[in-house]
Amino acid sequence: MTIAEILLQDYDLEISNTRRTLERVPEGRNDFKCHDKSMALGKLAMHCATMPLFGSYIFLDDGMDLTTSTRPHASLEFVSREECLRQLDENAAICRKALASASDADLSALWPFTYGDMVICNNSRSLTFRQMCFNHLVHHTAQLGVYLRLNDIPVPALYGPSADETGA
Amino acid sequence: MPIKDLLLPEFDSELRKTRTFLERIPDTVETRDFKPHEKSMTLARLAAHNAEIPGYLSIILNTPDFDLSTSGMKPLVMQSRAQLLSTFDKLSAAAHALLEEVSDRTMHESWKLTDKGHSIYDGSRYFAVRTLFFNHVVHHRAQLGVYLRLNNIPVPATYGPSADEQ
Repeated sequence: MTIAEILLQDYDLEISNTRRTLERVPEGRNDFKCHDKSMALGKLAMHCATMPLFGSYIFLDDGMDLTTSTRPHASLEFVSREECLRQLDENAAICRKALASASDADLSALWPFTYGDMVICNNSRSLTFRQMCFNHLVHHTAQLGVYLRLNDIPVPALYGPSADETGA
Repeated sequence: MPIKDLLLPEFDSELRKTRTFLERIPDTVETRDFKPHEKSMTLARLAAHNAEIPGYLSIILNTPDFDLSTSGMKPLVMQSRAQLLSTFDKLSAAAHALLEEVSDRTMHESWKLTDKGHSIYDGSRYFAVRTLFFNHVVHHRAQLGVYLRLNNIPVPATYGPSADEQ
């Protein structure tokens, strides 16, 4: 089994967990935050929807220096739930395709991620993808679940039942 | 590349992050019952859950199948931060040792999780490792980060800077 095949196994499931969470994001509450220092709801939702696009760059590029990157910054403005979901679907498909096309040699190669002289990480592409894209997405999807709860919106069951749903 | 070689660096990195979160758990009686919403888990339960999840990896790697109703397994109860860290360290070390030895063949075998005859999981051991352990770890640690924030405790930087730390 290739590394790409191994990494793809839980890809669709996690993307669908994020999608099911994003499907519940209310419109008109973009500025909600649970704490002064927290990210606003609209921005957090768009951060999730655009994360797989960043993931695709890990497969398509040889590294990234944030001070000189020519990859466009995705807008984090939440316009509507429909648009947010459209972006997730589109970005997840782009990332999936890029991952599926990556060879074991590509995925084992180092992917330097820097901010000028500062090294953010310099690990294999496969580990960089898992951490900076995939687990990062699971992380923010979970935070979004707490934001839904605080807005009295039923939280989807993801890894087991939530207090609202069994997932059965 | 053996699957375990793909997983071990991720295991070390993710559990190091979880430990940093657990080290920040407030250790007062008042904060143990904190919950952001009446339907949410208490801080003590969520912290204990984060500390016990490494044990799930050992179960998945060490058993042909697992029945929750007959296992006698009980949720970990928080007594102190030190107790959670000590349990977490022991469970993590045991899980790490098993992961180091696991073959691809074992990873591809089927594994089942049941509760009173109901199937909860039925798939490959590898997929269980991913969804019931790795992704589950990230999920609950992220929730714990929100709990820390709501208690005005600096949130560790996880996949990039937090509002508190680079």
